Amino acid sequence: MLPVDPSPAHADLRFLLIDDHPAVRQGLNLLLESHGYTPGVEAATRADAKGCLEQATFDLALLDLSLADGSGLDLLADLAEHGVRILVYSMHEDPGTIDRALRCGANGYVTKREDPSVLLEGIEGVLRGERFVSERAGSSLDETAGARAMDPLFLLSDQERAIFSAVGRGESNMDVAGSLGISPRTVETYLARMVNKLGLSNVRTLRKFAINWRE
Amino acid sequence: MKRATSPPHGPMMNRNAPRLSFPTRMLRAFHPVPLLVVLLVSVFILPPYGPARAADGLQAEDGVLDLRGFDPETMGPARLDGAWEFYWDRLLTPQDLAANPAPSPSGLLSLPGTWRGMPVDGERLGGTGQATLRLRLRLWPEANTLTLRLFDIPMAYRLWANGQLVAMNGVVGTDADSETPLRSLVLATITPEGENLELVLQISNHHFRAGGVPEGLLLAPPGPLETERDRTWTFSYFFAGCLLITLLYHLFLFHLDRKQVSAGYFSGFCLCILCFCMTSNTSFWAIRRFLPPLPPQWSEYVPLFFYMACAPMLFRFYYSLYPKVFHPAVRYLVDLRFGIFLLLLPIAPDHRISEYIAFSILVGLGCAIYYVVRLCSCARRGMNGAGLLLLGSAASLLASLNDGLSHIKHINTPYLIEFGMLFLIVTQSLALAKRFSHAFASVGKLSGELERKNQSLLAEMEERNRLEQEVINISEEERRRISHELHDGLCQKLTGARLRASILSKRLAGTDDSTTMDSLAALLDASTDDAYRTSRGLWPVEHDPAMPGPSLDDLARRIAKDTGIDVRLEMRRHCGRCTNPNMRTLYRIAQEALTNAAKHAQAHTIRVRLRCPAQDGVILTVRDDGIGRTASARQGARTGGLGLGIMAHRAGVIHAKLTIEDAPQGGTIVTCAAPCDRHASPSATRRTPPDASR
Repeated sequence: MLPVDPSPAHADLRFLLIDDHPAVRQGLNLLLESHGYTPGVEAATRADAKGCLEQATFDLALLDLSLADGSGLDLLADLAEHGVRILVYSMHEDPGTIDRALRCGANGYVTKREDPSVLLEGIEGVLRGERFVSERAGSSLDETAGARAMDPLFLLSDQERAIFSAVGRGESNMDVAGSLGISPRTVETYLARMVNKLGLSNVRTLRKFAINWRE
Repeated sequence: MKRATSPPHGPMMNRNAPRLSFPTRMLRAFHPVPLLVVLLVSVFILPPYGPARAADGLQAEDGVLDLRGFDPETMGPARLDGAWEFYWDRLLTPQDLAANPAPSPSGLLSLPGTWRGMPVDGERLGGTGQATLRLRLRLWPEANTLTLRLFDIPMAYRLWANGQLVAMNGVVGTDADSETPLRSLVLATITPEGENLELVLQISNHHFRAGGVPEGLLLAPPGPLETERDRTWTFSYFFAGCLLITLLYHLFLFHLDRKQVSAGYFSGFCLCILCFCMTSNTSFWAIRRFLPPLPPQWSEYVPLFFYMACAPMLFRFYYSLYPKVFHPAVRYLVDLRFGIFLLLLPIAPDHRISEYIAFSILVGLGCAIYYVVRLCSCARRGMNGAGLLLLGSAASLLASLNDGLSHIKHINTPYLIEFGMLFLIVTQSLALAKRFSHAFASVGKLSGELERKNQSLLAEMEERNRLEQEVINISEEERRRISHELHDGLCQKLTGARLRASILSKRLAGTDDSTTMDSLAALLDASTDDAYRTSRGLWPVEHDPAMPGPSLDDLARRIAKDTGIDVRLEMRRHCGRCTNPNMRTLYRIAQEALTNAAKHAQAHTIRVRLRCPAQDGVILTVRDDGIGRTASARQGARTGGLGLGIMAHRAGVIHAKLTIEDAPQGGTIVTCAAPCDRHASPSATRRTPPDASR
């Protein structure tokens, strides 16, 4: 059961609520407040979230995966780099998304269809340093765990996948940057991340891998 | 001068082929019958024309012909016409005539002519019998070697010149059994030695209507008569060659297309004309130069047979071309004419047959006139080829009239029937060619139109296909949009509401409103679930990362989860990352097939397979172990049928082949083979990525 009285220890915790729906963000804040937490900082987009990260530190991010300016999966790495614990709170229930979120740095996953009490459990669990996967998300994940483990690309975020495909087509960093509307430096950053995720030795190996992958 | 009113034997042909050679357009203006009548009448009442029948009025008188003033160089062959001494019922030799006392002649017979009806001893003679004719000539100076022509005397005869037997035709006899008649052209060579020449001619006739010498004898120095014979033969062979080619050509046309009966009848007509001309006097019996002579009776009736057979062929030819203009009844007439001839052949005496032939010729003339009149009618109506046919048949009618009149010596002109026939055949060929060409042009035009229509139909189908694809795309987009609205709009708002509700629930715990709050929360939960499920059903949010369209994995899993059926998915994709846009449609087909199997088939397991056989596109198979199509259709009733229809429609849009069949061990197999242009191109080295078979 939820703690009825807000514990003073909780009040220090700083939340970052990333969701493009104000109703959800407000609901979350009300929920947090009613359970003794300090209301968190709200961010509607990835850009907002990144801005917040620059300005303050957070203990926990509640992250929705469908954001107005892209997938929340792409924020996972940024959040992790800033030492923020991440609990994904999303409508998505498919094992692929859950798996990728967890692999890409999420500490927990709760689906929005679950009872709000499960979310509170998740928050507590993740704050304790546990990996929390809600029952619904867990059962979805279990169904295809074996097969999914065989797909190395599941580690990649959507943006990374797009870059991976472009590289597979033989495009240069400049081309990729131009077609995706990002800077070449960002492309390099993505490439370096992918090298790590896929366990490859360097960017050159990544390029070869991508080209062969594409067929 | 007595003259047979109609020749003993068919004067040349005159087939049925009348026609007036007038331009078609002019013919449309007036009726041809009056003109024909005037033409025919005038031909018969015109005074005989042409060179005098005996050169320059030189006629034999009292069995003597004085040719001392005759100049063969300028006057051509001398005709030995006039009054010959006539010894009735006696076959005398020169020796008999030279005996003392000399036999006295029964009278004088005028040549050319027959003895039928001639008064002898107060009685008129019949057509048959035998007689001897004698003519004594006084020749022109320097008449050393001469050629005497005896042509087309269809009986048996022997000829002596100055006591020498110089010509023989058939076997002269005193009755039908002992006599063998023959038609022939004989050029006898005579060396008179001096200015006196005595000709003795024995003739017997026991087979034909009227005995005598229907064709006058000609006498000339060597040269002109031989040349005339050679010319006739040469033209006959030329004529035969033309006919043979025309015949074969139209026969082959008929062989290729049995519906071209006009070509068939035309080749039959050509054959009859060819055989008739080659075996008859018109060509001087040219066929005898190649083939041994037929038995005498045959040689008489073979040409007649072909002559009589022409008419049915010709009528059928016209009738097949213009069935609405020619009267079918005329066919019975020409067939009857031919049939009676065939009946008479074995049973009737020769002179009866020859009388029937004379009658047939008149009937043929009537037919010929009928053809001209009908063809005029065709030409006036502007029927295809009628003008040419009219021209040809009018020309041949004129040729027939000419030959008929020439034969009975009403006029003195050469026989024209071969020219007439050639002209007829040529015009008929041209008319047929014109019709064929017209038919080909029509077919060409028709196939051109068909081709155009086909093209526009194809374009229309293409456009419809495109529009259908568009409709499907729009509908998919609509589903996506609604799904998105539900998922990212309504569901999120409901989530917000549920978060608030949970707070309220906590606050109201223990109060009177607690129950209401709980039910509100439950209602919100249920609404969220509904919205979520609807959203996923409309447009699965989870797309397969390795191929276009929603994830089949997810689909299979959801169906399994919702129904408890064991759904197994097996994918053997060719490419690591599939880019075939048809995958979206295949997903929908798989969805439909799975839904059908789950809802209606009472299946326990469903196997979904996706394969990419080399160069063969993408093949989706959904196989269940349920109760089969028939039973499930009964249960699923309309929805099942609709589902199949939608599947087939979707498959059609992407040019895929959809088959639905019964599985051998029960259940149903749905197979959809969709084209794939991605892996159709050969790819040299291909590394199968780790997850190529999931």
